[in-house]
Amino acid sequence: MTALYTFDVLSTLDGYASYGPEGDWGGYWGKEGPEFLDRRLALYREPQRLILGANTMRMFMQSIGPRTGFLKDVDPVNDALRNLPTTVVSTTLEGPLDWRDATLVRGDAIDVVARLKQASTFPLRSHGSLSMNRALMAAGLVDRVQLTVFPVISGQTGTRPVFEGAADFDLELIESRTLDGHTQELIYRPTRHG
Amino acid sequence: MFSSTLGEPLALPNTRHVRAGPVDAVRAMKRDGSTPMRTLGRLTLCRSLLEAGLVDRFRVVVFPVITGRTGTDRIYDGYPDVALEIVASRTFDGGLQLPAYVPTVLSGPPGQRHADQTEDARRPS
Repeated sequence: MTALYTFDVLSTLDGYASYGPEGDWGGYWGKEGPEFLDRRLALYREPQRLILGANTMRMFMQSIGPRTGFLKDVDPVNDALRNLPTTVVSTTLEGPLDWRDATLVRGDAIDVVARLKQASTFPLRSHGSLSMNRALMAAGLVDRVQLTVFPVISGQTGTRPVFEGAADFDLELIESRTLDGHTQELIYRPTRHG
Repeated sequence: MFSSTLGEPLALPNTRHVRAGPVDAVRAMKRDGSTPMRTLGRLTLCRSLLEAGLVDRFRVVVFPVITGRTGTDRIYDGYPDVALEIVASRTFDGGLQLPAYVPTVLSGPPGQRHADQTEDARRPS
């Protein structure tokens, strides 16, 4: 029995995970509502381990790092997020990390996550961390892709395509829900195609 | 059918061939007609009509595959920024998702909010 690994990512309809400096969308593309926030809070309150790549860890520390993050009043969702036990896979980050419970592991993400899946008694959840999760998907280590699609197209300002450079996959839709009447959460089981 | 290159006659029943620009033609058809109009899959045409504010419903069928290696013809290349409101959503057998949106093309001066947004845009606004 291995721990379930979920690649959890927020996206626009056109598949971008972020947007450039000229975009004026705001956090969650300005579309977060109470159902979405309740859902995220419930997800983060489940027992689990968070798995992050270096870029996402840096970004989280800059914004919601408990000591150095620029956000002083952190909302319950982000507070629950930063309380999760976290493993950071990076060859470039230097400790100590401004995070409540972070373990920095140097090494190849595929090896690290394969070992964690064997050893962890809790499910594993990764956020963003696009390049790391691309490699993990290709290695067959991602059990679930949890894609939350926000109701925007960011053809002009979108950056970081979620699946750019990915392999080909067949997906089995396991769960879907609409939050706040406009945000769709889709949970897929991916298998390599061909 | 909109085309400035196809020759006559078109061997299609019940089809009108319009050589003029589709934006003007569709605008006129929306003004003068009462029949709902639907376009299927024509990426450039859809983009032109959407940019011109002529699309009332934007319906997408999302198939349960990722084609990072072999995918071609990206739907949203060259799109503007668009705000969407879901007006319907269905899930079909086999995991096909069919959301329908009301699109609003965004324009105007950029960047009243923050630059340097996060990987997941998770930062509260």
